[in-house]
Amino acid sequence: MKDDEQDLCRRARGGDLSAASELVSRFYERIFAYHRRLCGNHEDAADLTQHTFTRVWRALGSYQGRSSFNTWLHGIAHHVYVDWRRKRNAGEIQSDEWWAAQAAESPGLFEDARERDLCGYLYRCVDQLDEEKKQAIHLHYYQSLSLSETAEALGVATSTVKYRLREALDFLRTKVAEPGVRR
Amino acid sequence: MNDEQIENLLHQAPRPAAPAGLLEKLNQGIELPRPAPGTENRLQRETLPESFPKAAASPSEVDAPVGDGWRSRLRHWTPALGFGLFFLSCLVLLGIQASLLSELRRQNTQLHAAAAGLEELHHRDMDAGQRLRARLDELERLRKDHEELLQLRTEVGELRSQALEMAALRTENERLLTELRADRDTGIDEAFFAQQTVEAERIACRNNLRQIGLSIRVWVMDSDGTRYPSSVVQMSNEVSTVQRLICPGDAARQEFGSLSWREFRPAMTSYELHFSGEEAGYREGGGGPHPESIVSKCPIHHNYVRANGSEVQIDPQNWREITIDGRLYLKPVEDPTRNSPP
Repeated sequence: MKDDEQDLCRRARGGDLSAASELVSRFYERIFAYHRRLCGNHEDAADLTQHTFTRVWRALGSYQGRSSFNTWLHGIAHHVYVDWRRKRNAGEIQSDEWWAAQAAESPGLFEDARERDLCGYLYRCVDQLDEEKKQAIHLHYYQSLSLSETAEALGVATSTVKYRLREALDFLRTKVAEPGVRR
Repeated sequence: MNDEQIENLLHQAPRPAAPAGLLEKLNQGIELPRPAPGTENRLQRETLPESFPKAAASPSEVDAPVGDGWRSRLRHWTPALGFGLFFLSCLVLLGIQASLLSELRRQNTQLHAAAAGLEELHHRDMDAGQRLRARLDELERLRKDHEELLQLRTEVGELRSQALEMAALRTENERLLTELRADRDTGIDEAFFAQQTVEAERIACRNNLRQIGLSIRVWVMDSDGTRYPSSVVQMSNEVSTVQRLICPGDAARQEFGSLSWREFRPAMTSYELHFSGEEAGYREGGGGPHPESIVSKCPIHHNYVRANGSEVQIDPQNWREITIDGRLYLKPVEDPTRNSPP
């Protein structure tokens, strides 16, 4: 798969539109989901996804294949989100209804209403984390990047990602263990 | 709930579905960079169908594109090219330095030649400077002589005015003496007239001493200001008559007042002279180097005249004479409040 992606990148760098279109088809849903979870609405998520791919085409000549295309793409998406957030000067926390609807729209993932409520509560707790820890959670758990890929996308050391994840899990465990939370 | 359970839930986070039409927008927004020369043909060949005859391109072109070959050769020869450029730049620098060195040598030769001319010019300027300095000294000396001449002319004018004043005083004195004699003949209070006579003699003596002091100063200035006259006879041109050398109260010497200068001798004068040709030093200022020293005195009336031309009458009980380095001075006897003679 990675070799295939590298070949597609090489062809797109050479001007092959079909290869570029194939890359978009493979990755746009993941990038949209990443932005959607972070920015809070569909319109901004769609705009950020377009910006991300615009930057990808602009920087494709400098992509040398040292990391996977997926990691490189998530790094660009992360920077696009950071720039957008800096312009907005504040982030939006996802509403309870959105996470509940997302859980409800995913049949089979959660066995019952109790588990759906617990997941919704957990995801809202993730949104309460500071930006660095939240980015580590999103890239590693939500986007399924490995630790080294997450570190490369964020531009930090792998040990730093481990530390942030550990801190975030401690926080989430504390929040879940609070009285009144249904388990 | 442990960490593993939390991680499982996080991994199961729902993925929001992308809106419809986003894919088309993204495909329309694809702006790929322009392919580099050489890679375009290769990409076109790679996308061609299998049935297209591949003989149109030679294998060497496919394996080694033109751009890559130049790049690899350039990378291979970069160290040699760098060294060659460095060597060439060193050669250029050496050439420039050699040119600058030859130019500096030529300028050094020119400066040596100019320095020889400067030495000769310096000697010439030194001679001219010495001549100018000698002229300047001469001018300075003449300027000082001119100032002294002006000063002497001023003093001579003062002496002439004093001489006229003395003549008027003498006339007044004679008139008073005549009146006194007339009054004595008429038998008016003889004691009063005797006292007035003594006072008149004292005043006349003081005038004589003033005349003698002025005559001494004129004689010294006329004799280039360095020495006093050796005797009173030498001042025959400055003292009008020998009568001035006889005190009116000195009855024993009155007969010498009618003598001529040829017949007059230094011992005939009533006044003591306290100089004998010693150095006057009048060039250094009025009255010479010892302006307070006594040059002449009357032992009868205790009238004195100083080297600066001022005359004074003292009370012998309050003042006494002292001699310092052969010169005569006046000093108060007991009264400490009097620091200088009147």
